[in-house]
Amino acid sequence: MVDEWRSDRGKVRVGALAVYVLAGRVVGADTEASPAATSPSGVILTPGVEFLPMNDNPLIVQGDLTVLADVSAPLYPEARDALARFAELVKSPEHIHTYRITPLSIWNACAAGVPVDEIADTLTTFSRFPVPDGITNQVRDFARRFGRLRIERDEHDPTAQHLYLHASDPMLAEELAHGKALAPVLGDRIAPTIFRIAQGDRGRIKQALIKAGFPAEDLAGYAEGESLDVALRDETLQGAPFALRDYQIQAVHAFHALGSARGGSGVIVLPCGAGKTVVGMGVISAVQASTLILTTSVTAVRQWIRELLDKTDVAPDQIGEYSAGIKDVRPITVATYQILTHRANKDADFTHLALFDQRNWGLIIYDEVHLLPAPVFQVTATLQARRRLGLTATLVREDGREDDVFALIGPKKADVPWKVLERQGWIATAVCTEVRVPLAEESRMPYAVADARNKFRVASENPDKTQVVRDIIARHAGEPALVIGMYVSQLELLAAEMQVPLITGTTPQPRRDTLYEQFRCGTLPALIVSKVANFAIDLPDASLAIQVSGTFGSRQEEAQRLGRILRPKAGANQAHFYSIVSADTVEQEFALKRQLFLCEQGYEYEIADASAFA
Amino acid sequence: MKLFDVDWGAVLKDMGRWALLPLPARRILLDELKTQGFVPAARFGQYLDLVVDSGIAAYEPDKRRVWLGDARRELVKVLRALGRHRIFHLAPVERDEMALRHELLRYMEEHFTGDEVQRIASAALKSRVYANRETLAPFVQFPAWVGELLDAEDDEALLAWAESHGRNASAFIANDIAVLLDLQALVRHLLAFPGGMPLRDLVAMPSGDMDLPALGDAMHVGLASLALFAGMRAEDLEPMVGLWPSVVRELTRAEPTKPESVEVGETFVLAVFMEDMTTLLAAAAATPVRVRANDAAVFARTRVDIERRLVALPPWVAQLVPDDRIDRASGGLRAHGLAILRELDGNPHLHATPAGMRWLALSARDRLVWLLEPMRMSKERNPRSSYEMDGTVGFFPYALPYYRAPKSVKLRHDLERALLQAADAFIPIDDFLEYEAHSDNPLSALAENPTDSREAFVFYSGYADPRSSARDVWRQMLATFLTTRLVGLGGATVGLHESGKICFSLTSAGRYLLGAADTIEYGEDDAADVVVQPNFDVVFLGAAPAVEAELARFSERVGVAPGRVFVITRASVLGAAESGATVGDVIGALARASSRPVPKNVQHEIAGWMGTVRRVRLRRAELLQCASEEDAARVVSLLGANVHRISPVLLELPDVTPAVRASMMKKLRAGGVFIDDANVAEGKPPARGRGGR
Repeated sequence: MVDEWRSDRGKVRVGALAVYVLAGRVVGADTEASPAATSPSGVILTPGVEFLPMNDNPLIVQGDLTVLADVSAPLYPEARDALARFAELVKSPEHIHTYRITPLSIWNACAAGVPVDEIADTLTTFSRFPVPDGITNQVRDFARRFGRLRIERDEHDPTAQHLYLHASDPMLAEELAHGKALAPVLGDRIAPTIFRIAQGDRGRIKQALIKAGFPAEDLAGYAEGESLDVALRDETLQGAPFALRDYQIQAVHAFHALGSARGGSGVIVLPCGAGKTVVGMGVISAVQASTLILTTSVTAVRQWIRELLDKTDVAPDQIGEYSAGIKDVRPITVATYQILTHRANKDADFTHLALFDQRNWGLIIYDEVHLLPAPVFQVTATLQARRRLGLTATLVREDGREDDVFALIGPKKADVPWKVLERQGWIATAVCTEVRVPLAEESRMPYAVADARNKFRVASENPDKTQVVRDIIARHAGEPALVIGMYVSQLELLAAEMQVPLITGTTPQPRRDTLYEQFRCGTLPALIVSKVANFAIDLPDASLAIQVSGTFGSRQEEAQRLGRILRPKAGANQAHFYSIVSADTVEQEFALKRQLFLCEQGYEYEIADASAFA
Repeated sequence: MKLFDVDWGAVLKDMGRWALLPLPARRILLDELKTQGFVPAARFGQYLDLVVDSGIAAYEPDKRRVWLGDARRELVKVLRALGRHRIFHLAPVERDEMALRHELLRYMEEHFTGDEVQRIASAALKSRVYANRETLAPFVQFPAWVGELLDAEDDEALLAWAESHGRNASAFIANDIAVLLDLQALVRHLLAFPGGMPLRDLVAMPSGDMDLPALGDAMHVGLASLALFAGMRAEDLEPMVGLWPSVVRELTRAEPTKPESVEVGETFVLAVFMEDMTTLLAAAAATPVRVRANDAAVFARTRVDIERRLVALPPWVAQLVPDDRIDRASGGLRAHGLAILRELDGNPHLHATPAGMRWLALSARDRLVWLLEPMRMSKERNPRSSYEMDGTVGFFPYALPYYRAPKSVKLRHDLERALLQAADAFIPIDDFLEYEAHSDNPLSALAENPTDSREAFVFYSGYADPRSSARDVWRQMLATFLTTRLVGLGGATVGLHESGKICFSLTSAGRYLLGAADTIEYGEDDAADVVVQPNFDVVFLGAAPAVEAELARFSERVGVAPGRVFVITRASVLGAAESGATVGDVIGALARASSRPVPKNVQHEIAGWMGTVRRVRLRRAELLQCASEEDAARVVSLLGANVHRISPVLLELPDVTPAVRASMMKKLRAGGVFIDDANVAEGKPPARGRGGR
């Protein structure tokens, strides 16, 4: 099946290396899967791809384990799909994308069954220049560490309260036994290569092993949990036809792995607006068990509940909300991270963590897993017998705890670049525009004498921004608009001047729901929202977002705000994201950070003067 | 122990015994031979029986020790002596003449007394002055040392050679024509063995009438006259005999053929030195660069920063460029008057001169022309001598070490003629240098018959053979010019041949420098595959060193080889602005380099950043601080328009000459206004005068 390498004056013909889709999981889905064979590793192959001379190859493999990918190169789609399996996309501006290979990304690939030879071959086959010495060896070294340790159940006594950690050789076992961090949790060494470990230490051991550089393959399986019949509807409650999209189906299958121990825990990476909630519901219907869903805010909790009711056949009385106001535990319970990590004072216990044990959960979904707070990590370490699904738009955590996500939630199971979805029309095309407004005359002196922090606020609250907001809305007349800001006083002023309702953190939930509904129905053309809008509000009709102030240079906030308008639109499927900043101020400097971030995500970014909108 | 005083006939007869021993046994034996005497039998381990069976060593009666040296005393002495020399090697070892000479000096020290050296030197060099090993050694390395023996066609010539070279040999043997003929035949035979010949093979060689005693006599005369050398082969400790390696090399050297043009794969062209000078000067223009007081080398921390901005050279090109790129650039800038060393805060710094600032503002091509012009227009016909060097830039990048260049040659003309062979095609550099040094060397004739003692001195310095000297001088001149004037200044494209040979071909800049073209093209026709991204990354998808050098002026290198990635930052753009670049320069350079349109947000930001640039002048001023407005008014009335009122009580004195200033002070004192010097008031001690204690 695997064609032999054949070099013909710069041309390389290769079959096995044209890896396209990994069986059971998505690695990019913008091209049609041609009839293809499956390799022993489970990789679906597209044979007979004729490779172009080396200079047309899309990848530049750098000595620091980063890989540059030229998106205009003829073989880019193939290279990207192959690369996405073992490297993390770091930035994806218009022309050249940057990927990074790390031990974690290699272990993710190994966990998905990608042979290391294919990784090495991908690099050499698609590389424009010779791959630097040592890179392939480094990759092999990373990969060699995966699979040398396995956590398994006692096959003679599946109900036993202990598990076994198998090492590939006695020397490795010896090394572990002498590791300071590991030795205390390893338990008895019952054979030269086997340790007996407590069920409750399963997560902690996996964490410690990752840190020691030897990821364990967890084959101990899961508790089935309380059974729950869940099916996805063919038609939503609203009457619209509904079905999982292809990439969503593949993501669900990649996670579930037909219920085997090789699936059941992991992370699905999908861009904002790509339907992570829907994938979560797909997984619930695959697992058919009671589910605890953890998300970032009450608004997001309500959104999950609304979606569950709308798109599954779960009865309303089977879904519970667990938040500050309501403590309702049902077969499907949706809770916030905040309530779980709430405690009376900093020395008190996290009382609500008991929720994890209140039912025999068969599945726990961690929404926005890149925001998972530390206490939840700790609890998750004890929940390794339950299936765990992480949903996120990015695996990159600001606190650098990606290895904990890998150890405690699981490896990456699916990753679909947003550009692919944009091309397929599953998310809207967004144009980002930074509009620069001169600082208002009356703000100049306060700005000049303010300290660094207040300078940012004075610039952000530039009163001349109001007129620009009006001008932009006028230019996009008829398009539902969200005006988003950070400072409530600024937003209140804006709301009063523009006669547009305002939603802040203090707006009661019923009032919020009413305004959201009116906005959704189109009776409300514009809505002003504070940073409560950053997470999980579902406003499907918004195609215009105007940001009047932000949290300094926060990239995460920028992504979330942009995500509000990425859901597919009728017609041109086009969304506009405006960011209004005061020219020649510190706000402009912070905006540069956001500009870089958006450009690196691949969005089109324009800079305009306010006068262009007058 | 003198090798030529050995009974070689007997030794050669026993040499087969050594051949019986494997290498480890030979090593042990040589180790033990150093001490000689009784050796514990266990020392030989598994090789004990072999050593004893060879007859080189014998058991003591109790068999606990073996005795070395008695049984084959002469052989053991020879082996010990041979073991001290590593003249011969299995594979050819490239060693320079000086390293070989060092080996030769050791050899002579071991086997020749001072008198013997004097004896042979005074006869062979036809000089009555005192000669020592150092003066003799170069002549022994010269092919003529044995060439005269090989060329001797009759008895008289052979005896003449023996008279001059063989004075240390037994006169009885050295005057025997049969022995000399045998030696001549032996030397001729050994010419086929550049790495020497095993002594045991010598015994077995088809030698006509030469029996072992005759061979031994020939060896005696050959070794005593330094025509032959003996030593242990380094790799397998095989006793060898042969001619001195450089003598064989020269006598058997095939005449090099004229190098032919070849096709090359990868190529590289960049005025590396100019780009390095530009990078350093741009840095100095932004902030004067601190240099060390003792040697004017750039300080380490700054060096690291600047090195990151230099164009990264492919390894095969880097070997043509000196490592000290920054210091060379610094020297170049100063030589051209583009930068000077001046103190700042008490420490020497490299400052850009006004000429340097103007040079930076030129296009890459014009910058290069500016550098090449004085070289091209120089009236030099020959390199200057070291004493004539005045730090200015001329055509030749070097001086001759002694006195001055010969008047009778015009090396510039010869150098231009030689290098212009590569005007239109790639020629392997090594082949080119080899051919020029041996077959087309303008210095050869002069070296044979110097017309002036100073000319002779140029060639004889450090060499016994003026022809070798002439070859090396000319080779060095060509190579240095090629690397520093051509490759370093974009005058040659270098290319890599599939054999691994580095080749060169002249560019228009090279032809311009050599007077074969009137214009140059540089930095304009690079087919660069560069992408400027909206996130301010600049990615090179292929090698374009000239573009890389240009963009490095306003961006920072972040990529790791083989990727070439730069990022445009506010700081890097402002740095470029400080060294004189304009918005048009920066965006223009990006637009020229980028294969895709420069993103508008990038253009917008660059324009914005550079729009914030303002220039202000820093100057020192002297202020008069008055106690009251009334005092200030009094000062103004005394000095009139000479003072500038900054505040009601603060006045600024103009920047005037010391004489005018003294006059002003006099006026003030006359008006009853006395100056309290702030330095004195603050209690600073007065400067100590010369000689004060």
